Amino acid sequence: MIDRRGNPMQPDLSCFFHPESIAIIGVSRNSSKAGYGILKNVLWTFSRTEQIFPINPKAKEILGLKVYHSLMEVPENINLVICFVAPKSIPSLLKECHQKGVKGIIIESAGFAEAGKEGKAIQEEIGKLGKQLNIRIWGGNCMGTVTDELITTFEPITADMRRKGVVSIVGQSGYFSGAVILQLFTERYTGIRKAASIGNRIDIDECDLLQDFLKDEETKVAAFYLEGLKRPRKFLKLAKEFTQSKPLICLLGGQSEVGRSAALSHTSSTAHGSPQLLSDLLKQSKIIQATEFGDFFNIVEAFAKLPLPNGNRLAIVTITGAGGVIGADIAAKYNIKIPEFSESTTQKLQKLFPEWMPPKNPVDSWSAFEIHGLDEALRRIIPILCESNEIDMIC
Amino acid sequence: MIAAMQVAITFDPTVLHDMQKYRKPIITYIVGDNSIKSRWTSQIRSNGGVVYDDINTAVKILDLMASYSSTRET
Repeated sequence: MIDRRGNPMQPDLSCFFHPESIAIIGVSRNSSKAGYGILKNVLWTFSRTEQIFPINPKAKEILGLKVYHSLMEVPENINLVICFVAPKSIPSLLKECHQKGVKGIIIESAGFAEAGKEGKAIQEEIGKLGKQLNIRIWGGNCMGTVTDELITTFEPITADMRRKGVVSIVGQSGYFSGAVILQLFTERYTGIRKAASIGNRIDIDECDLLQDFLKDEETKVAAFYLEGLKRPRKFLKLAKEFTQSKPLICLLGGQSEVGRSAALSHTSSTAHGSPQLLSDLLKQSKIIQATEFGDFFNIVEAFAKLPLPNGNRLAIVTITGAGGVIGADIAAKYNIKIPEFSESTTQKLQKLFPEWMPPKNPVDSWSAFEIHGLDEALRRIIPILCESNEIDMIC
Repeated sequence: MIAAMQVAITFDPTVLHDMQKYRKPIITYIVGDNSIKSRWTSQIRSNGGVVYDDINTAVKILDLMASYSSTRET
């Protein structure tokens, strides 16, 4: 992004991830409304309670906090504004934000370019105003952020779900600030470092986030769901740098004609060009491509939890011979080797197996399980394999 | 591969947690009884492990990890 003096703006996202004060515009007294959910999450997670300023022209108090009738009524400067109000009211709100020293605004309401001509015109006006006033704009049509120190989404997230992790996620869909992170929290036990729903990307886009994750030492894995690349060259260049030290997983939506049309009405994203060309470009930047949501979860979980292998030598340990046969067949389709064990490793393993069953790779371990029990056999077989230096991974 | 069978096998999924000290990626795949499979899956995952429903996914993901690891080194 270029500032009003024509200089490239640095993607300093600290006002979004570590704000000093927050005003929430469009808070609601109705617990089923998004404006209530945002305030509830912010109140629960933001450590500076006295620096939370709910705004609603009709309410006096919500969730025990004093409600201000307008942003201008707040007695001090504000660092971050989160808003859930009608798009047409946002241009005048931005001018008030400028007067209150606001550095960034998260627009969670919808009805912008994805909704048609009128919304597109408002979106463009907001974009221009943001540049003029030096206010970074997140969204609109998004679900904000989730980190271990601040949740700005309206999605209900409970304490037992929250888990600090090493994965930072960007999604051009509310699904990625809601259901996806819940899945990673509760089902995969992966946890989250930062989750960002960026919606229509009026200003903040995937490049800003990737740059932020690159600098962030606690982000070990990045995962993106995108329906279009806003700045393809920049993204691929950043990705090349990023993947030198951390894995980057991408799930791209809008790869078919109908999918592209759906992406246009979802987040006003336009086509990436030829899907094959894009896929090749992502490959060149060493980006790992997921094919669908389940695949995305599987890949993210593995990279987040497991150490990287030093090579491609696999040991298959199975309870049945058929499992080993099929496993070996599948490995042959990939670039995976199933090496034979050395005499020394075979001898060590043999002590766990009956004489009539010489252990080989794949390791059909049923007879060892029968003698020692499953747990004990695994406790003894896996260390022999890991310490042998003959394999890099096990399944 | 672990087979989840009510009669034949007792298994403590936390045993795999102890193997994390060897710093090698270990992926488990479980076949068999759905209710046992579901319980073990949850236990393995909550102990920092990775488990899938099928060996094709397990091998594919290990291949992705090995490929990424090799390109990063060059």
